[in-house]
Formats: sequence, C-alpha cells, structure tokens
Amino acid sequence: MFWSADPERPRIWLMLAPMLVVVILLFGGGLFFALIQSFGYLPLIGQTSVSLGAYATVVRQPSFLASLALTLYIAAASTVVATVLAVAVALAIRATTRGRQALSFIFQFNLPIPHLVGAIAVADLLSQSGLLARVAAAFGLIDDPGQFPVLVFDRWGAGIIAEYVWKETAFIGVTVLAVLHAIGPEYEELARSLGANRWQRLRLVLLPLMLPGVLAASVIAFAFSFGAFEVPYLLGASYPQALPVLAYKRYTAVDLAARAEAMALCVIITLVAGAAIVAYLHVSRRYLRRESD
Amino acid sequence: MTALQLANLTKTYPGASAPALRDLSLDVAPGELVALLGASGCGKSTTLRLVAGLLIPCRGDVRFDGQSVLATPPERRGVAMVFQKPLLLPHMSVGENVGFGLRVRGERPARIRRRVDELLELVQLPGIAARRPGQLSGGQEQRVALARALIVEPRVLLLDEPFSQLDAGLRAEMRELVAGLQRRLGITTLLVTHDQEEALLLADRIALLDQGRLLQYDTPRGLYERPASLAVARFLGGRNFIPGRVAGRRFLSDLGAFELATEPPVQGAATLTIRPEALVLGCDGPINRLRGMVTAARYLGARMRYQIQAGPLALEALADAATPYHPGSPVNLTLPPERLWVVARDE
Amino acid sequence: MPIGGAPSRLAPRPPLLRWCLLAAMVVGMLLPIVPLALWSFAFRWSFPDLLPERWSLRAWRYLVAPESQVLPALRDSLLLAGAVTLLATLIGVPAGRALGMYRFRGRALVEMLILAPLIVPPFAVSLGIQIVFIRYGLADTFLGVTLVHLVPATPYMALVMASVFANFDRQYEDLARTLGARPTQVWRLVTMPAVLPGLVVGALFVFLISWSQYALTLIIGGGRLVTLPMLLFAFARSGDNAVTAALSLVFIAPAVLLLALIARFLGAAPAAGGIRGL
Repeated sequence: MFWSADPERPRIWLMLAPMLVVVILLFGGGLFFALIQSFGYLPLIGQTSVSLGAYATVVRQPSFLASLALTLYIAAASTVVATVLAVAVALAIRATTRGRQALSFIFQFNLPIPHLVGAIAVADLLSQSGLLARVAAAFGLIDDPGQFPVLVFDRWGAGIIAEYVWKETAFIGVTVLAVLHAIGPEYEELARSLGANRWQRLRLVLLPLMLPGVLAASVIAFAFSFGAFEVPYLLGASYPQALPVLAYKRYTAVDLAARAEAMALCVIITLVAGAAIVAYLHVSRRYLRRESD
Repeated sequence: MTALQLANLTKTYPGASAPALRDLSLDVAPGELVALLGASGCGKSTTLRLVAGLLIPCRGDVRFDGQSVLATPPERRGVAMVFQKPLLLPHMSVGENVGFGLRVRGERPARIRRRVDELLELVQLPGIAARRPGQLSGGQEQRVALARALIVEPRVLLLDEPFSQLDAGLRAEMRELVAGLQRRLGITTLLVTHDQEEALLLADRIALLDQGRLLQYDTPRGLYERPASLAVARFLGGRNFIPGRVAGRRFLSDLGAFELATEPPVQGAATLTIRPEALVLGCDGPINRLRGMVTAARYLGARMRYQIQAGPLALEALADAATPYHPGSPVNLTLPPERLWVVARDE
Repeated sequence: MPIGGAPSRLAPRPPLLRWCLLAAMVVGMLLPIVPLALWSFAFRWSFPDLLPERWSLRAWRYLVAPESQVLPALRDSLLLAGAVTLLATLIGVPAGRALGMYRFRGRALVEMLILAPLIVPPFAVSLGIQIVFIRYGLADTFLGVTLVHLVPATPYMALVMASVFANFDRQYEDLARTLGARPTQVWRLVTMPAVLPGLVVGALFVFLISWSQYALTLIIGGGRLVTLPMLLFAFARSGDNAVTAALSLVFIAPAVLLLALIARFLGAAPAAGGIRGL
C-alpha cells in the first residue's frame, strides 16, 4: 500500500502528488493560459506579441461598466438576501422542537439541484405567463400577462437573483445549521444566567459566534454567483449582460481576435472573485484578532 | 518465552531538538514483566513503539532471543500491543475483534472461533463474542482488547498505560487479571505507566526513565529502598533529604552524625535519605537520635502524616494514628541505621 | 443594562413569527418545483389557467423516444460522472489522508492550492485550458471533459477525506499491524471500514458535481459530448416547456434521491465548500 510502507516516514508528497498535478497542471495551467491569451499571446492565429490591448478594448466598451455593475449587483444582492434568510431560518429551525428533521431536510433539499434546473424552474414560476402570474390573474389582480411585472430576462436581473437566493439560502443555511450545532447551547445558557434576554443573547452571543462560518459561506456564494454563467445566460436580459455571459459571447465569436478579449474578461472575473476572498480573509483575521485581544 | 534486549536505543523525532530517547539499554528475561516508569514525555511510549516496530530507532538495536528484529515489520515481529483506549473496531463484533490477529494470519474460521471462545473465557468474559463493542462497559472493552492481544500468542506483550482510563475499582481488578495471566502464560511483557504504585505492584523489574534517559533499572524493592540517585528517590516519593558527607560507615551532617548499617557505595559529599514510614517517633533509640517539633499533622485514616522541623530541616514522617502528636509539640525521632540510604549529591 | 429586571420588549418572541418564517421557507423551497411537475404532464396550458387544460404523457414519451437523444445523453452523463468519481476518489483519498493525518512543511500552501479551484470560477479556467487541450487533441473528447471535471471534483474529495481522516485514530492502524496485519490488510480491514461513510458521501457529491456540470462540458466538450445538461439547455432555449420540465425532473431525480439516502451521513462531510457549483 501506498502509504504504510514505512510507518514513520509516510510518503506525504507521494500521496499529495496526483492531486497537486490536477490542481497545478489543470487549474494553474488554465489560469496561466487564460492570462497569457488575455495579453494577446495567441500563437494559434499567429499572434506572439504581448499587449494590454484586449483589456483596453474590453474596458472601453460602453457595455462593460454596465455589465460589471450588473454582475456585482446580482452577486451582492443575492448573497446578502440569502445570508439574512439563511441565518433567520436556521435560527428558527434550531428553536423548533417538533419536526426539526423534516424542516432541515426541506431546507437543504435543493442543494443537489443544479443551477440549470433552478433557472428553468424560476422561469416557469416568475415569467409573465408563469405560475405566479396565473395566481395573480386568478385573484383578479391582472387580466393580461403583460401586466405582470417583468421578473425574468429583465434589466435588473430579478430572475437571476431569485434563482441564486433560492440555491444559496440552502447552501449558507446548511453551514449555519452546522455552525449552530457546533456552538451548542452552553454559551446561550451562560448568557441567560447572566441576565441576557433573547435579543441580547442573539446579538451579543450567537451572532458573533456564528459570524466567521457565515461569512465564509457567504463569500463562497458571492464568488460563485459572480463567476457563474448558466443562470444569467438563461435568465438574463440581452442588455446589460453579466460578465461571464459577455466572456462566453466573445469567446464564441467568429472573430478569433475576440478571444483575447474573452480571456481579459475571464481574468477580470477571477480578479474580482479573488479580491472578494482576500477581503474576506482580511476581515476575518481582523475579527479573530479582536476576539483574542 | 522470549528474551528481549534493547541495546543503546536512541530516537530523535524529525524536527525535534532533543532526542526522545537516549542510549537506552535494557535486558528483559524470558517471562519477565518490566515496567517502564516515568512522567509524560520521558520516552517510555517511544520505547514501546520502537519495540513494536511502529518507530525505527536512529541508533541501537532491538533483539528478541538475541536476534535483531529491526528489519522485521511490526506485523511479523510477534508483538501485541494493548493501548490506553480499547480501540475495538466498531464495525466488528467482539468475537471478530478478538479473532482479528488470527484472521489476518489466515487461520481457519473454525479454529478462530474456538480460540476466541478460549480467550474470552481467559479474560472472564465468556459468551460475549456475538456482541457489538458499543454494548460493553469500559472495563469489559479493555478486557476484550487484552484478549485480542493474547490470542496471537505474542512473543512480547506491550501494554501502553492500559489501566489509566479505568476508574479505581476496575483498575485494581484489571491489574490483578493482567498480572495473573502474564505469570500463567509466561509472556515477556513491557508495561508503560506513569503510576509508581502500579509499577511497584506489577513489575518484576522497573526501568525508571526521565527525559529520555534511564535513571535506574532495578527490582521494585531495590528502586524504592536503594535509589541510585536523588532524582530516583524524589520520583518515588522520597521526602527526607539530609545533606552532608560520608566518612566510612558514618554520615556527618549539620544535625549530627548518623551511623550507617553498611558502608555506602558513595564517599564524600552526599545526601542521606530515609522513607517517611521508616522514621520512628517517640521512643529513644540508642543511636541516630534527633529532636524536632511537629509543625503540621494530617490524618490519613490508617496513619498520621507529620511535618517535623528538626534544626534547619523539614522532615516528613508517617506514623500510627493511635497516639497522635499535635502541632507544636516536641518529638523525639530515631533513624534506624538499616533504613538509611545514601545517594550522591545532585550534580 | 438591567440584569434580572423586567423582560425586554422583544422577548418573549412570539412563536407565530417563527412559524410564519418556517412556513415561508417550506413554500419558497418547494414552490419552484411545482411548475416543473405540472408542465411535464401538460399538453396545453395557456394563460391564465392555474392548471393545464389537457394532461398528457407526451413529454415523458418523447424523452424515451430515440429522436430526443435523451437515452444516449443519460448514458454519457453516467459514464462521465462515474469516471470522474472514480478518478477523484483515487486521487483525493490519499491527498485527504496526507492533509488530515499529518503535519508537514508546506501544508498551508497545499491547503490554499486545494481551496483555490473551489473558489475561483472554473469557467474562467476552462477557457484557458481549452487552448492547451486543442493542441493535445483533448478538446471535444470524453477524456478531455473528464480531466476538466476533475478540477472542481478532486479538491472537494480531498477536503472531505481530510476531515474524515482527521477524525480517524491512527492507533487503530498501529494496533492492527502489531497484531500481524499486513499493510493491505490494515487498509482493507481497519482503515477502509472506518472512513467508508465519509468516502461514500464524498464520492456521491463528486458524482453530482460532474453530473450537474454545464459550463465546463460545453467549453471543453465543444458540443460533441452531449450530456444531460447540454440537452436540457438546448430544450430550455427551444421553448418546449413540457419536455424541458420532464427532462429537468429526470435530471434532478438521482440527486434528490441520493441526498435523501445520505442525509443521515451528511455530518461526515463538511457542509461548506463542495456543494457549491452544483
């Protein structure tokens, strides 16, 4: 067997090697080639010079800022809403004694459902002829599909946000439930014995204890919704488009030179997602330092 | 029965600044039970793992019947280990756990079943082979772990603090069981413990380790009554240390001269020691007399423990509780020559 | 702040609020599935009817008909997810053991390397990989798509197994060896049974990561490898609501089923991290 030949000197790097090959070669290689292509280095079409031209082209397009703003807005709005809902629902489930298991299951039941299906379901639910519009019509609120608010393929990405909230509430919620379970009831009981009321226990004890875990899950959700492509591709308006959709469009353009622009967009997406992680690490470190003071 | 020999064993863990074990040499006779005694971090568990083959020494050798086993992997050394935790495999029944060692040797199932029953009988848990580990109490679990080790008829049995997680009553019971089985089966055994009472009770000989060094290797009585150094005496609960020097069969100190029963191995500057229970209170002996004052008295049930100030020295004495002395009362002390022991002054 | 005084205005919180929240959660979570279920059996369903005017099995019949290509896509999806799961397990289990059981120099760096593919959008990376895969003839092939699926799958498996091995007491292995078990026997009889629940959970989620992957398959498969999500996407854009809905249900059925099966094992896997991207 791979690892037990010498009990004392396990071949740690041998055990890690296959995974490091995957991560460094495939993931690192992918990033690297996206980067050099974004600088215009495309030997396939005979371009070997290096420039920032693609970035200049991309950034100067009037649609870029609108796309960046939309993507940031979608990711931020869906993450904030999902986080608040997840924390609230997880606390509610925790406070429930009867049916807690069934509630937890429903809470996380959509975790394995792909975003693709989520997007289709949201379209069937929220479009102007969707289920909600029909319910509105049944109550006599509207007579015609056109009177129902545009929630899918709309300028403000309402459908996209709805899909992300649906999925990410479950994702963040499962994390929050695990965190709450790990915290246990003791801290709250302690606070209670010291005279803290329900609100004080939540604000001064539970929320601070939950914060690191909740923040980590939220940042992952943010980075995902910022860089994912299926949902805005299916539910987004034709203008403005989310950055990943823009990148994919440039990538599939007939014009091979557009490739560098697609890669430049990819690099920008990666940088923003990376910045979110760095910001998270910074905040969480500062938070932890304050804790240990 | 196997003779176990450790020769100049040295072990430094990768990245550690000091060796965990330095130059340990130990001879264990066939069928002997040797306790490795010391505080945590003294190197006793390291020694056990070196014998088992779970660690490889930096220098030195481990020999079974004179043959080096360093090149033999742990599964072929013929040792069996019992750990602090019972470590019963949760996915196997009690019987499967006990039979584990025979199963991996490819024994026939019928023979395994028979041996499992025999061994469970031996540890006084007959008929529980079909149970799950989760259904056992802590003491039962540890006895099953013992049966699992004994079933392979190990050449050397390694016990790594096997009693430390049991409560007092069970621990005494388990000690009796292990001691009885070990004598009966005649298995050469190393017992790691930090409990001196346990070592004194069970071991034929005790190896006292401190910071990776062997301080003394002797019988329990030898260790207790004739410690080789001040450190040994301290570790085994010595309280009374009188500085001075040896001149022939006399020990000269600030408290006066003391007669010794024999001429001690050390001469010159040394420390005189006597066990608290060996101090005789009250009666005036012909020699080695001291006068002191009781500064504290504690009732321990069978005995009283006294703190006695004698000149500049604080001594501790254990005496019968029938005629107690009270704090503040003067007391006569006698130090019987045959109970005195001299160790070299600490370097 | 008064201690032991009158209860504050906010406490006791009425359970009514809690029940409303939980009811809203149940409705919100399940509601999006309702139109899918209805549409899959609808023949005609025009506005503003709440339920279809005519029910039919047309969509379901179409799914199994040869012209829909669903069955070959189902087969390819299963093969792909199976291959990815197998490879990710073989790669991720030893890596997880190294990370979960040993301290070593460079550990923090390795952990960062593993987390990166789970956080950086794989979409961007796959565009970069594609050009290299073209050169080595891996683009548009089953093998190429398998490899690119390993990017999110392997780190997830490694992380799950790291947490599993971190909770595994190595003394069990020592004990088995001293009792005479060879290394292979130690793995088979002791280590494997102990880590199996975590391994199964990890493998199931890795399967789902591959099963649900759209963007990576699209970019590296170039439309040649038609998995279920590719087909589903095409139906969704074609506007046939009934077939899209039916295929959606087929697509999520194994996932929800697996979750129901392993819900009690779920504690063995870290909740955060890998479920993302499904």
